[in-house]
Amino acid sequence: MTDFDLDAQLHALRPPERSKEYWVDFTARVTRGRHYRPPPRPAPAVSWLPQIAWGFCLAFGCFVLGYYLGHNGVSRQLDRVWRQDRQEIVRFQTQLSAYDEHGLRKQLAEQP
Amino acid sequence: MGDPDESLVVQCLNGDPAAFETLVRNHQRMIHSLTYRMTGSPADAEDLAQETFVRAYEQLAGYHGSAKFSTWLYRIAINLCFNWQQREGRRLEVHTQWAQNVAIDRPEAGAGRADLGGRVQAALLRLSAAQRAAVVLTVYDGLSHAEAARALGCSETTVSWRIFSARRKLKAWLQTPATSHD
Repeated sequence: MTDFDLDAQLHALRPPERSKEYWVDFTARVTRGRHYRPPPRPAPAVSWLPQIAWGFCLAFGCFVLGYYLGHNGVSRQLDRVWRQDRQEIVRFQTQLSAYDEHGLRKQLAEQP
Repeated sequence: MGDPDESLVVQCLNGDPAAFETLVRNHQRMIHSLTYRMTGSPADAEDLAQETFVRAYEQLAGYHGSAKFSTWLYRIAINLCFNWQQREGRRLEVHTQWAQNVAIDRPEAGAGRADLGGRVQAALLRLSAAQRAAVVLTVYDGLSHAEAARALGCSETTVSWRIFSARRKLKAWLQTPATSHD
């Protein structure tokens, strides 16, 4: 079958005939259907501002809390470590000074 | 030369109801033919045609004039026909089978052209909705492949392929047997 033959056969399919009254009534039916529908409303604008503000506040709160806890905790730990280190250094110096001329190590009583 | 419907659309958006009625009158036969060939059912075709214009009214503010108004209207109608296809899948199978049986069982009944119309409708309904739409828009409504692509929301290449594939199938289905009656 050629394309021409196929087109000829396809054009044999015709929509059903309708009267003039049908077409006049169709327009009226469409406009009636239109009146029953509510008018299209614009979509509500979505504002992201409240969410951004809440997120910022939450982040700031977490930062403050973390800074407070972390700062105090770290300071105490650091102080403890530094104190221990100073004590070790002093002890070491004291012990170091106990070496006699022969290289023997004699531990003296720790000085206060 | 611009689209003559664009001025009617502008008038309608400015609140002129007669402008929309003119648009309906200008395109109602075209849309009826499209929906009938897509569904094969006069009743469904009428409902879909009416729904097409109602939707067009609701979405008129979204028509920007980038394509012809008729192309935009075709797109609404085609989408409604696709939705109808999904809803009525089973009923469509029955109707297609009935149409095929009529064509087979009554080869001598009525005018040959009417019987051929039934066979063509049955063959069209056997195509996928997308292929059927491409054939209907180009063969019956005279749209170019580019215009049909805009109406279908796909590429021109896709439309060309769908038409090629559909025509191949239709030729096989509509091939008249050697012993057919005149």
